[in-house]
Amino acid sequence: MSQPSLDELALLLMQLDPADDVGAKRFADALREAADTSAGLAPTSIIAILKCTDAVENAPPTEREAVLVAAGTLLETWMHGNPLTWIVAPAPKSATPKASSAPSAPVVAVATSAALNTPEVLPDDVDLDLLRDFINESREMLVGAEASLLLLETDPANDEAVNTVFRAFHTVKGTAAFLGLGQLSAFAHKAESLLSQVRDRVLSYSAHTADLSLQSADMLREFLDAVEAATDGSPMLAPEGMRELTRDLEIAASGKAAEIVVEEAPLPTARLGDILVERGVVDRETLEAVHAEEPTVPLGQALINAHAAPLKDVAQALRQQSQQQKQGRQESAGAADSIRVRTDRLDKLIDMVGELVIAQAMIAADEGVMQVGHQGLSRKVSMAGKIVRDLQDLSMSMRMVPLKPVFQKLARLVRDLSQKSGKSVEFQTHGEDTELDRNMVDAIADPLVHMVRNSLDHGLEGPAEREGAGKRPVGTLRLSAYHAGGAVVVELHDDGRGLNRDKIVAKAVAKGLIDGGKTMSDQDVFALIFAPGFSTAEKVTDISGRGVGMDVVRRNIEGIRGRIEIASAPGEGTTFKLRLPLTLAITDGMLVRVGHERYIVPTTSIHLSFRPNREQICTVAGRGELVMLRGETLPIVRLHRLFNVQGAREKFDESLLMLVGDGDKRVALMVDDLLGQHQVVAKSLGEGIGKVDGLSGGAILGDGRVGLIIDVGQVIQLSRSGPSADDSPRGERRAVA
Amino acid sequence: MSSAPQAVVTQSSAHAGKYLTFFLSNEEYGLKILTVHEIIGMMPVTRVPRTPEFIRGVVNLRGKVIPVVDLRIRFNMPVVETQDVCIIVVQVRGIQMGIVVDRVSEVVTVAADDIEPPPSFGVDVPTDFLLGIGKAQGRVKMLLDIDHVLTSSEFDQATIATAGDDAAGATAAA
Repeated sequence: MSQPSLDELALLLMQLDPADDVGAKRFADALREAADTSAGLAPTSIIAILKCTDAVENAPPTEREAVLVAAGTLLETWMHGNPLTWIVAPAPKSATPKASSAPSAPVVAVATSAALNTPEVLPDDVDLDLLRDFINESREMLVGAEASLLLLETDPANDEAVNTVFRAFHTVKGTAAFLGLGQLSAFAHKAESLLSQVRDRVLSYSAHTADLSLQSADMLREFLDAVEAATDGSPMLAPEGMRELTRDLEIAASGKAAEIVVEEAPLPTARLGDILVERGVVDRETLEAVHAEEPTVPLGQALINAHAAPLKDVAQALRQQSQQQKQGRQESAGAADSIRVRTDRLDKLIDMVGELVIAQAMIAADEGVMQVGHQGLSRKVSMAGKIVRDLQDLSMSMRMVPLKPVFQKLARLVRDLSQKSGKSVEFQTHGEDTELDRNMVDAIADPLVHMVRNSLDHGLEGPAEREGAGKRPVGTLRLSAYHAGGAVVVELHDDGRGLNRDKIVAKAVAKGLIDGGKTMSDQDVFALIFAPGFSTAEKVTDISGRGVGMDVVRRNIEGIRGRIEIASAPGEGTTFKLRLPLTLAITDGMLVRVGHERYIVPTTSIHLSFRPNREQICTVAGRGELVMLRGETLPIVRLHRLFNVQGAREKFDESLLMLVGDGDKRVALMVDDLLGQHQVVAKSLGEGIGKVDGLSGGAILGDGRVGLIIDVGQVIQLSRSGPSADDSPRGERRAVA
Repeated sequence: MSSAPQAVVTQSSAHAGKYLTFFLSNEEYGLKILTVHEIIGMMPVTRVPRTPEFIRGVVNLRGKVIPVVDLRIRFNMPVVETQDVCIIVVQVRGIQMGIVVDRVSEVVTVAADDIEPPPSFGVDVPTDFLLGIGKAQGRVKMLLDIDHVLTSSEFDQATIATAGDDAAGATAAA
């Protein structure tokens, strides 16, 4: 009864091009469906069909021909109603048949050793754009692979993780070969072979395998760097240590493989046994026993042979398994379902949407629309406004990417560092799906690396010291990200020894950074570790302690308008909090009026604003004005004088003071009025003007005019460095004339 | 500073072509049509502090912030806001800038033969921002070297001087 559908299958198979992945998948699906719907198939036949579908789907294009021939034989047997067997070259499930058994992969091996000795030049006809895409994609894939490798550290039996790594290596290999990068392809092949054996249960995932795989990932990355460097036509040199690693990989892959690799097909990837145990069909002991008895027979078949499990259940389990695999594949396909868009185009789009929002607001506020009798029109306008706002939200979200890759990179770093330093560390991450502007994610990656290094080196103690202090020998490093008050907070917590206040003060005094430090608050003392050249580590280690780092961290974080906070308790650990704006494109600002002008002061730099009493004000030498606030005296900066604005309020009781700045650089900025809080898109003032002191840029305000964004730090600097600017333009004018 | 124009004038044929003309007071000036990006009506200009006076400020050109130069101030002419005042957006070396003019007139073609080198009035009247004097339709049009007007060394100095103003101010205060 399944005859017609088998004919269709045969037709599909005949038309199938070995290089056609989609077609192969379609064929496999059809085949699976046919197996599902046809009654009276022997269990061995079902197993054979499932193996066949798997092989068809997973075989790389170059090796699919053989698989398809075998599938043809299978179909033919099926049509004749004979019991089915799946016979193709050994290890058909592995995407690289035979490659795992060293002796039978002579072609690749020879190519490798030959290629290793000569520096390679990129092929002349290589498409540079393609190459760049390849490099980017491969890097991303390697990040994912690393994450999976780390997952394997704790869960060596995680097949999905092995598969992810395998796929990454495999894709790199395939594309590299396509681009004519022989060495890279050959090396990826070696790395992949090792994993394919893990996947096929030929090798167990040991610490050695883990190290080799991680090293391979690193090596591939270095390779990609080398390829990138060679895009200008210079010869591409294989990274150092590649030959050694290749050899290690070969040894690891062939060592055990020699005697274990058998003609029998390997076990399916998602473990059949697990599914059966989970379903309560067999218990694990029986399973192990059966498998031990007949290690060369596929588990499903062995179970049936031993009458340990009913046939129906095995078949169901097999189906479930292949379903799971299918899902897994679909998921990974879904994740990759994206288009690469150039960032400048995206920025332009976001810009234009921002304009659209303003233009829409102007229409909505237009007299003609507001007039009574135009209700239909105003309804339409407000509807358009809704769409425009949605559009804005959407366009803003397009730049947002999750922090996950950064966290994953750090997990890897922690693993390596803890091994190097002999401290055992448990690395926990929370909220890695928190999204941030792409630029921000890039900008905090390096600072976080510094911070993690520091925490590991200075923060966490060695196991002995920890036990001495009555703590768990394993230190904890917790990295979390979450939203708080319109900002994203990235928090790094260690449960180490905490910051030593006295030590920091002593060091700072020794370095001449401060005088005594007796009166300083903990916050201020801790902030000293961000001073350039500051390091309290007793010895300079490979990891950190060179005195650079934390100041760079602070600079970078402040560069993206973030703030860094430290909390620490002796013996309990230290917490670094990075408070970051959601996106760089939008500034949260307070619109203030000064005379006829309006300025935007970034909300992050405003501590408070208040209307001063006459009693609070005092002057120094008739000119320098100070305000007393809660026992603190702060210099007053009259913004209108600094910016030479006409028509501003001169009297204190008519104007407002805004407390801005940090630490000893705090001043009270005098403005006329607060006009309200706005979110604005920061823009440069145009190259024609260049950098203007005291301003960080401009923004289009709700009425379409340009508002200027004040750079508080520079305003404070300006106010200190001299008189108001009012003579400068005129002075300039004279020079021009 | 003023030797460059002479070299430029020798090849006056290079300056032949279409010009957009505009008025400042009753003088007619010409801008090479290829440098003109667009003409927009006067719009609210946001003054930018601590910049040379001839930079009137910045405007919002469809979401892009561009600086606007007031040519009257640039040329030391009295500032009078006329009814037809408008902004010509020019592109100089990839940088967009607006220039405020009294009135835009027309587009004329100036032949190479009709271009004369800029005259010299001595130091009081700088003429180095002129490509030459063009004649078309019986009227004289001053052909502007807009590149020079907007990004001349004076202009650069202006921006630099403003930036370095603190230092100067500090010494003055001391």
